[in-house]
Amino acid sequence: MPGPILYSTNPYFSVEVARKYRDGNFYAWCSEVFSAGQQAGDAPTSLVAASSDPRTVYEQLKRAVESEDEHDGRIEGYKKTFKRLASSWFASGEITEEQRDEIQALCKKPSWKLWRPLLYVVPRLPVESRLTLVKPHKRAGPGLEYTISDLKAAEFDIIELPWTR
Amino acid sequence: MQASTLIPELEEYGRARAAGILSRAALQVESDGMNPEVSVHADEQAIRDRIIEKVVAHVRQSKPGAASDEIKQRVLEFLDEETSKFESPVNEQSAIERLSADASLPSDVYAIELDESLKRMIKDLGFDDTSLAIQTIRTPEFEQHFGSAVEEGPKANSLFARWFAPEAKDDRFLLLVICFRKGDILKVNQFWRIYPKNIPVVSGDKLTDIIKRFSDAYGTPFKIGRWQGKYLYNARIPVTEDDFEDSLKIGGREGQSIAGTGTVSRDGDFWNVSFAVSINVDKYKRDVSRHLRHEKMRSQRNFAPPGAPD
Repeated sequence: MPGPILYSTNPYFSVEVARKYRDGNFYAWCSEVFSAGQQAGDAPTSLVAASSDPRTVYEQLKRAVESEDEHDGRIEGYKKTFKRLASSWFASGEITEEQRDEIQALCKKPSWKLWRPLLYVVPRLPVESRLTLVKPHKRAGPGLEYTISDLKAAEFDIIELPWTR
Repeated sequence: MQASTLIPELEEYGRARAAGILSRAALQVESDGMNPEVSVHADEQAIRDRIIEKVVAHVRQSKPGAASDEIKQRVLEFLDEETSKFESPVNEQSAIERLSADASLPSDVYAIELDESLKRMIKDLGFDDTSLAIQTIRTPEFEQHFGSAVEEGPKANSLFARWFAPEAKDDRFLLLVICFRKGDILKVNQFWRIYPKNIPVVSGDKLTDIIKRFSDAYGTPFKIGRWQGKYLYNARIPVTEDDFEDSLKIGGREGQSIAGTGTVSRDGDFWNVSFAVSINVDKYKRDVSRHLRHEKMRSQRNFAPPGAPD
């Protein structure tokens, strides 16, 4: 049975970009469970790989931000992705040159606050028709994963968790 | 600037479009095609695939025997470099100034400076919370910003707050820091310890509410032009023949130590004044010192050997 809630961990900067530059369209890579490790052993939802498990991603990102890990691969990856996205959006006229400059300038600045993790909690039913199932060879494990690229702010909740394991 | 010789196909496109194709080629490689930006521009899939194929071959040739992860990294680096050749350069300085003006720059990016009047007040107080203030700015628990988008508010102020000593019921305090943003500099104008034991702090309070309450408890009346009170949230005051220093009349009895501070910036014939307070430093110092004594006693008790008398 599909889970009624989808979870996705994203850096704070994703929220800023969606609100300020993408007309409130959020992108999320989602899992049916928050923590695969806490599922019943043989449940299909326990098969989500660690690199896609929202809780694991959240904890790793939080640790990297709190320890100000300058070599964290995930944060470096986010920076590069946002720079590329800004170039692409500007080239196709979706953002102005000034907006491209703002996104790219922020990616260069040594901020940790921008990359702190946030958890998206998405009720599944209202967005079901817009979910794209990630093909098996593109998932990190056998567990089901989905993407959605036009999530609206009213369709989900954003949570900042106070703890780490 | 020379367009890429490795990818002459891009000559057919304008510079902006070529940069877009290259950046999306990088997104395709990076996400294994999963980034939605790749599928939105499906019409250019063929040229993107050709570019990726050529770049991969080029990298493989220059690094024979390299592992697939390394090849992927080098392909991405190559595509990013090529993208930048077609793009107009990023004007970082003006981007940062715009982000600062509309309060979108994260607080841990700013250089922090202390206002001169604040430095003088710290000397008078005899205790220095500067390091706590910096910690509060870098990693605040609460923030409130005012920027160009806020019509009727202070223009470039940021307020930050953070709890300290949370385990001490009577001595826990909220450090509240008031700053003024200018470009990538955050000028710290004031910081105050707010002890809920002395000043009520209610869940859901805005930081501006707390400053108001703090001024009610510790403020002395002051005057700017015709305005008089203990706390000026925000005002635009015409510049008179007197300069601002002369028009700011701070009250207080003789012998009292008073700190008058606020954010003041000149805009043509007007002064913009925000968060102006005039604090009775003696009273503030007396109350904070009492809490500091409690804190010290408590930490001594915590380090006492087992069996030592309380």
